[in-house]
Amino acid sequence: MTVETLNEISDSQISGVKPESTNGELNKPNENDLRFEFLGSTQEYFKIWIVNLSLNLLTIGIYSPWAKVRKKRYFYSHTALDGTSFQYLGQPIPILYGRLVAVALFLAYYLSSHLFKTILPFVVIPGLALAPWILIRSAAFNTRYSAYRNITFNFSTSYGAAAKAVYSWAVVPIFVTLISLNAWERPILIAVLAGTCALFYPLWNRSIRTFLVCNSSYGGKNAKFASSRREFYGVYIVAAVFPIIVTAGYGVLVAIMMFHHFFEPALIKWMGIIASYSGYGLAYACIQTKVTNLVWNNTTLGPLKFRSNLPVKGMVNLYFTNVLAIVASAGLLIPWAVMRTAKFRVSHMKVIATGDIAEFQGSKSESVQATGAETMELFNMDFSL
Amino acid sequence: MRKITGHHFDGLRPIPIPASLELDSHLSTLTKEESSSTFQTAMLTVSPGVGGAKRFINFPDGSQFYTEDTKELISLKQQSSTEGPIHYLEKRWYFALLSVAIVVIALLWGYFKGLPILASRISYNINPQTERSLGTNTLLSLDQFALSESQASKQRRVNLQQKFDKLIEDLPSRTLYQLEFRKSKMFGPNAFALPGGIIIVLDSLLDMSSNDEEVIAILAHEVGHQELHHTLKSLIQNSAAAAVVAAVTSDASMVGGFVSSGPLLLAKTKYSREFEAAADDYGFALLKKHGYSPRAFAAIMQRFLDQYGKAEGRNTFLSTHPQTSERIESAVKAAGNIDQTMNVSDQRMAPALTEGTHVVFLPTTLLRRAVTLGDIVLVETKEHRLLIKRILGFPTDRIEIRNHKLYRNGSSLARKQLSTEECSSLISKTFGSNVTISHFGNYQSDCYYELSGKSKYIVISDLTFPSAEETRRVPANTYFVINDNRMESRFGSGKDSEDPDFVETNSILGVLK
Repeated sequence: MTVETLNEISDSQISGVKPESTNGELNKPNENDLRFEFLGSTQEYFKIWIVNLSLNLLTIGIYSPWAKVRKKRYFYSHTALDGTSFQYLGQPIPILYGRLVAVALFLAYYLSSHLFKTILPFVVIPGLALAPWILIRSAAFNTRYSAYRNITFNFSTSYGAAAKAVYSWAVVPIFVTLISLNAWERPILIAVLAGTCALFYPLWNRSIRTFLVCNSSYGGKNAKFASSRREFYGVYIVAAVFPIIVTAGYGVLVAIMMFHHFFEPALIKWMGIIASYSGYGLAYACIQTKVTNLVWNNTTLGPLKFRSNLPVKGMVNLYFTNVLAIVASAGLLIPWAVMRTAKFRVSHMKVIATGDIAEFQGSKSESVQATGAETMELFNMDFSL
Repeated sequence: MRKITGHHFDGLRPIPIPASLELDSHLSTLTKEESSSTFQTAMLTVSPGVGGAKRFINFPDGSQFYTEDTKELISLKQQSSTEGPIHYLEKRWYFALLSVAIVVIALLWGYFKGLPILASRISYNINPQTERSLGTNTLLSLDQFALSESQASKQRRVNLQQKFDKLIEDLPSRTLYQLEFRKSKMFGPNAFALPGGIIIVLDSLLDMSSNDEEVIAILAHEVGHQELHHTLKSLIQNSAAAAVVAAVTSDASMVGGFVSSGPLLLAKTKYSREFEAAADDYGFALLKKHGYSPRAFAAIMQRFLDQYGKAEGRNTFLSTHPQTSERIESAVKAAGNIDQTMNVSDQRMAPALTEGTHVVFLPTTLLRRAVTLGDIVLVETKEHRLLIKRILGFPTDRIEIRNHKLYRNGSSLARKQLSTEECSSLISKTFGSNVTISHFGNYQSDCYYELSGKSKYIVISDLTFPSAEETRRVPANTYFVINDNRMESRFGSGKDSEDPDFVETNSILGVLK
């Protein structure tokens, strides 16, 4: 079975894409389609990337919030919907505070997990309690500092709702138990826990996505997300096929080598490394692509519908050539890879207006000036590292 | 008066209204759909420029004007004041090229110089007790998860502890060291250094070694890790490297996973290999100082290579330790192919060489002449102990002891007797007057000159040397070697293996310069 056939089967059967958009590019414009385009250029982005990187190194990282803001601004202001670009309202200084807190939390985790194993519970338990709050704060930061046509996006929910999403299906508690156990002492328990974790992971992912989408709003309209458990499981089952095929292929190859008495341990070891990486890489690309499609295709925002039909094969090609180019250029082609990836993603995305976009209603209090994008409230910190 | 065109967003509906804006130094006029309104220019702010993107002008009433005439906006108040200069740099190719140079230099310098310097500065300033508490905690959790009580015999552990104590007795961290014996199902033959001087020896290592000297050789390597502060250094270097790699490849992670793990793995393994090589060298020097040969290290590593070597690939750039074969080579090199400098650690060669004397041996491979009778040589025993001895017999020679004196092929080596006063002053000078009374009190000391080959030297003996009259033939490929201080000699005592008098010709490492 090739990647293409897998892709076709999954597109029509699993990811929920409607029949009219399954045939490759979304190249049949409809009068209801809003023009969605990415206008970034590699040359321009290269300069931004390298200047910010060097400033970052020269200031040993203190500059990093500025670098982050500059890159975000570049992406937002070069992604245009219906002729107007998005606007990123984040400011470097609050991000700097957010990062300082994040670094402190990370250090606490790192030191406790690497050095002081005995105090680890005192870090993990507050960490678990804080996780829903962190999820809310970071989603809120990302939405509230994104604007389109002078109306900001918003994210509002309660700690309880976030906790319900984070701890749904007990995936997080099981995972934490799993990593704090000693694999050599209780192998069976570990296997059972890992299996449970894997079994519930798609459901957990779905509830997190649902939480994030359904609490986001724009112009007074909350986004809606309608997906089935079956669809999420489908993605992971299809993705699991790749490692299985690669592992089987590796096994057959080794068996053939053995049969011909060609035994070279180093070669077999390297083939194993390549096989496991490519199996993992294919599964990763497949999940990323299909979950993106799945989420967009099931999301509506007021009168807007979304269609994403990123092809798995195309994304695998893209990732693969990106990695090759980045390695071969010692990193200098990173901006090129980033730009072509963004272009590719946007070109496989369509925004359809099923009603009047004037349905979106901003309020003066939500508008750019009033959100106080420049104020440095402690809790408006961006936690994403 | 500058007039720019664009679209206006009132902030209430996402509908663009075509509009124009006339900018003047004091007042600005916005015109849309036949109506116009006037604002103070000083109240307007403009969104940061990035690339050639269109920009937003913010009005005091919360509405926005969206335009591509970005050149006209420089004089307006900037919404984000710090980003103006950055935008200026980002637009110019010569700053981009300069930045490439800065990034390349910064990364290379940081990788080879900066990080190691930073790590050693910090690690040498950390209180040893803090470091020790890290180690104690790690040991606790290891004991909980991975290690169990050692099954090695008490005698073996006591012996090793004594030898280890001797090894570390004059090191800066000597008070910190704590040797721990453990058994593990998880790890193969190994020993490891935890922060703060805790060294764990696994039973599997004891089982694999053929004598204590080999274990001591591994321990000397672990002592090297402690004395050179490697655990802290690697913690600092790896964390800093991870931060740098994350910063540099943060964009690449958007385009697909693995790009960041590669460089980090390269950096981590390079640092790890450097630490291992440095600990090896430290260990070799420490071993030689205490009369062990680094060949002991080579021997146990060779055994390790024979048992586990097949799994070791040739992926030199990604391995945490230097290639085992290279480590063996450098141990052998440290053991013999270069000048051996060492401190005499006992009185066996007194009075010619007393304890603490610094001596240099020329390797036999570099010696321009044959080894001759009377040469003081460095001998390595089968257990890789280093001994200093004098060659007194060649293969096939007949060695006799008669009346407490040595005879080679029938002729006595003994020459002139020293007077009793000279002898007792020599003994008290060598051994200290107290030692003479307590330790040598039962002996009748005897000091005389011997002549062997062209060398004339003083021998300290006693009337009980050896316990029996004896005649021996020197076997083929063997030298007869003995200590000048015959009181400390075991000749005829049957304890040949610890201080042998007959050694194979290829066990001579060097000749005293």
